[in-house]
Amino acid sequence: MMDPNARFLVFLKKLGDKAPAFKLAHVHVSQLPPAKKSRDNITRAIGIFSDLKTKFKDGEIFLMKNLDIIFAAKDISRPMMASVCEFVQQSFIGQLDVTFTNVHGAIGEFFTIFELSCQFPEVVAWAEQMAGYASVSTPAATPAPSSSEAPVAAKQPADLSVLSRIKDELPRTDISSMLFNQAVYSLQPNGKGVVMWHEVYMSVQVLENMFCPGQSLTANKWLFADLTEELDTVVLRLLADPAERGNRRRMSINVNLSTLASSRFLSFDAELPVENRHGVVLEISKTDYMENIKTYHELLPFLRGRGYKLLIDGLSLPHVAALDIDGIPCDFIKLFWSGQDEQFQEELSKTIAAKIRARKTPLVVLARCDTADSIRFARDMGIKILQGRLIDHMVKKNIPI
Amino acid sequence: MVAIPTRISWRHTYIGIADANAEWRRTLRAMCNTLGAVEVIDAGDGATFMQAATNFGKGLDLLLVDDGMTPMTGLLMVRHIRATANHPSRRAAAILMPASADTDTLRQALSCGFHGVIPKPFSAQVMGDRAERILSQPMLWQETDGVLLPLMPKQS
Repeated sequence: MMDPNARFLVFLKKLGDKAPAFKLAHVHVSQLPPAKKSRDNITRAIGIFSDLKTKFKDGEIFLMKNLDIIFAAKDISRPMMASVCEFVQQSFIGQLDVTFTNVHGAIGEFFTIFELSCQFPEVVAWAEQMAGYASVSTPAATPAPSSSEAPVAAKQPADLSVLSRIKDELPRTDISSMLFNQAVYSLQPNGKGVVMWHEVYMSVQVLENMFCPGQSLTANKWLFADLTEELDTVVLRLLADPAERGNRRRMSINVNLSTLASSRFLSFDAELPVENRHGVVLEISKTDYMENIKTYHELLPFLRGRGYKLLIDGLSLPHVAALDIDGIPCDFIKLFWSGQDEQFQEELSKTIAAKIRARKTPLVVLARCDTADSIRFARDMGIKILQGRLIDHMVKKNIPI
Repeated sequence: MVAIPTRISWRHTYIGIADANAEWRRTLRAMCNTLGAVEVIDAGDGATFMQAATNFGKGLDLLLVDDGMTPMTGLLMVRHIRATANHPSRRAAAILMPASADTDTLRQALSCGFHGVIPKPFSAQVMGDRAERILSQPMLWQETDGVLLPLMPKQS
C-alpha cells in the first residue's frame, strides 16, 4: 500500500490540466495536543469531508502520516470549503482559539485553504517536502569514483606510499563488496521511469575505510587518477567474469581513456558476449576527455565498432554553456545537478537552456537528481534521462516523475 | 452521518467591489462587513480594480460589479478576468449590479461570465442570499473561445 504522503503527491501530479478547478484544505491536526487528536475526532472529521465529497466532484481525502487531513475537491468555492473546515475545527477543539503557528507560517489558523489555480507549484513543493523528497540526498558513503570534486572533510590526504600499497593490494582483494549500482532511468511519456542501464561504481569511502582509514584518496587528484587506472583494471576483470557480472546486461562503467587503450580492456572486451557489449556504456570523465582528446578520437571507431556507447561524465551547467556539445562525438553527456542554476545570470541561463532543451545527440543525462528542483529543471529542459536518489525513490514508490 | 454546513463562511470570503459610485462602494463594504466578510477590496473603475485585484495577491471569491464604469465597463472587466488564463480571480463568482435590469442586460452579463444580476439598490440580505446560493453549490465552468463561462444549474 502506498505511503499516504506519497499518495497525496501522486494525486497532485495526476491532476494535470484539471488542477485550476481544485481547491485544497489542509487541516493541521498534527499541531493539536494528543488529547484532541483522538481517533474519534479524526474519524468524525473524515466523515464530514466524505459527506462533502458526495456533493463536490472528484473529492479526495488524505490522512497524512502525521495525522493532518487534506481534502481536495473540484468546483468548490473557498467560502464553502472554509465553512466545512470551521465545522471540522469545532469538532476537534470546540470554541477554543488556536494559538499555534502552522506549517505554512500562519498564526492561529487551524486550516489552510489553497487554490490550485494560482498556488499549484507551492502546494506541489510542500507535498514533495511532506513526502520527504526535498531532503533526499546522495549518501556520502557512496560517491562515484568520478566524483573527485566531492568534499573531503578534514581527512589527511593519502600520500604516494599509501597509494602504492593500495595498488599492490588491490589485485589480491575481493572488491565485489565495494561495487555499487545506481540505475539510470529513461522518462516515459506517462511519467514512469524505465531503467536504461545501471552505473557500476566503486565506493571511494569504502575503499578508504578498507585501505587507509582517516586518509583521503581523492585529496590529491593526480595520485587518485593514477589509482583509478588500477581500479579500472580490477573492475573490468571482475565484470568480465560471467558469475560476477550476473544479470547486469545493461551497465555503465567509469573508465580512463588510458585503460581503454590498454590490453586490459581488450581482455575484458574478448570476455564479453556481443549482446552484452551493446549494453555497455563507457563513462569517461570530462577531464580525461579534455586532456586526452586525441586518444579519444583514435579509440572512437574501435569502441563504436564493438558496440559500446560512450558517455562524457561530470559536466556542469557552466561547462554546457562554454562547450560545443554537438562537437563531442559521444552518445551521452552526463550533467551533475548542483542546484546552482538559480544563481546564473539570465544570459547564461538562456545559453544553457538553448543548448540542452530537447536535444537529440548526444543525449543529456541529468545525474544527482536528489531534490525536487533537479526534477523540475529536467522537466523544463526536456531532459528525459535521469539518475539520482530521488528518482530511485520515486520509481520504487511508483510515483510519476 | 454528520450534517455538513450548507452555508458559506463569510469570514473566509474575499470580495472585490468595482463601482463608479463611491457612496455605493462604501455601502457595499458595510454590507459585506455585516455579513462577516473581512477582506474586501474596491475600486471606482475597471482598470484600477484589475490592478487592486492583482495587488491583493490572492484570488477573490466574489466580484460585485457595476456596469456603468468608464473607460472599462464592468462587463468588459469581468470578461477580461475570465479570459486571462492565470488570473487568480478567474473562477470568482461575479454579480452584476446595474441600475436597472432587463433580459438584454442579463443575457449580456451571462455572456461575459457573470453568475447573476441584482439591480441596485439592494439590501445586504438580498446580496448575501444570492452570493450564498452561488458559492455554496459546485461552481461549474465551460471555456468558450478562451473565456471561462459559468455553467448555470438547470432550473427545475
